[in-house]
Amino acid sequence: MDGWVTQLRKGLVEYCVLNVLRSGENYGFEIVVRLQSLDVIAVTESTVYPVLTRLKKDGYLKVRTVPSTSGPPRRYFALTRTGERRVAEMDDYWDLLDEAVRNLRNNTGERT
Amino acid sequence: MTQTTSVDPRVRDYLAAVRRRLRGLEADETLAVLESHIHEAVEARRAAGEQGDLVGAVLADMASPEEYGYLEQPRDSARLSVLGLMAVCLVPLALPVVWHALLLTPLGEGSELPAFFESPVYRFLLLPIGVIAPLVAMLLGSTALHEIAASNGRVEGATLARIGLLGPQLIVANVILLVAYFNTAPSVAWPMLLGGLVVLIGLNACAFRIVLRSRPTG
Repeated sequence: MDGWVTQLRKGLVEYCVLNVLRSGENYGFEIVVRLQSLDVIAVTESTVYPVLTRLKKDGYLKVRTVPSTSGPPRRYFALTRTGERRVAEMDDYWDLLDEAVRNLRNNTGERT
Repeated sequence: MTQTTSVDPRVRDYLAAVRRRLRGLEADETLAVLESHIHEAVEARRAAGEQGDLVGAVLADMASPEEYGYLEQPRDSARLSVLGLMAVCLVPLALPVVWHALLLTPLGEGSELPAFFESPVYRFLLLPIGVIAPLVAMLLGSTALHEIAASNGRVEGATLARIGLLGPQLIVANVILLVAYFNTAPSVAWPMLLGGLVVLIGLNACAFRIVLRSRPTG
């Protein structure tokens, strides 16, 4: 069960990160805190930050750096247009997946 | 003035350990955000009224450095598949035997059998090796592909493994074409020969590409 849950969570991290940023730009620490408030997702910094970096590299996120007088600069992440399209596509696929699994669980045998 | 977390040796050690798990420019970007995270976490605890070793408390709560990079294995730790390398090295050993075999068939009619094929070196050494080598190369190539697929990025060299797997078949096909060509048109001007060679190389590349795309590699 643990192995399956781990694999499932691995696939969800990107979708969850993009969803956090739907409501507007946010900085790394706050993104992690928001995701960690959802125990069932069980993310850590080791999963979120590499995903943030990769999403930026792939063009789904943009970064705005704000200098700080008391520590390292704060990096604010926000969705790009490509990122907005990406999360919309993920929404569509998620809905399809949800419906398909529900059908399987209800044993209706309907093709989706 | 608040001491910045970046001067704390424990933070530097933590970031250094995480860097070893990541790669390239992405590592720099990730580490910059991570350093900021540590600082924000310390400030959040301070704002909540916590006292004492805040940096230690934050680091204790964070993921260990070993947990980083499991989504993307660090490439500099990947090794080349030894099986794939061996497969590629075995493929050329089949060439003399395949040529000899084709010269003995109707395709080789009219071609003079080189004296080399009568020599003891060929008959007792290269011939048995040349018969076994392609079979072993195909076996090693297939095993190497499975090894690479199962390694989750720790082993690389899929191209070498595929050459080992497909090489013997391609050699046979090419030698058949060449023997048939030279037997039907023995005297050929060099531009035509060059053109024919280019076409042959192109056909090989296409065949390789078509076969590779149809084979699952895990």
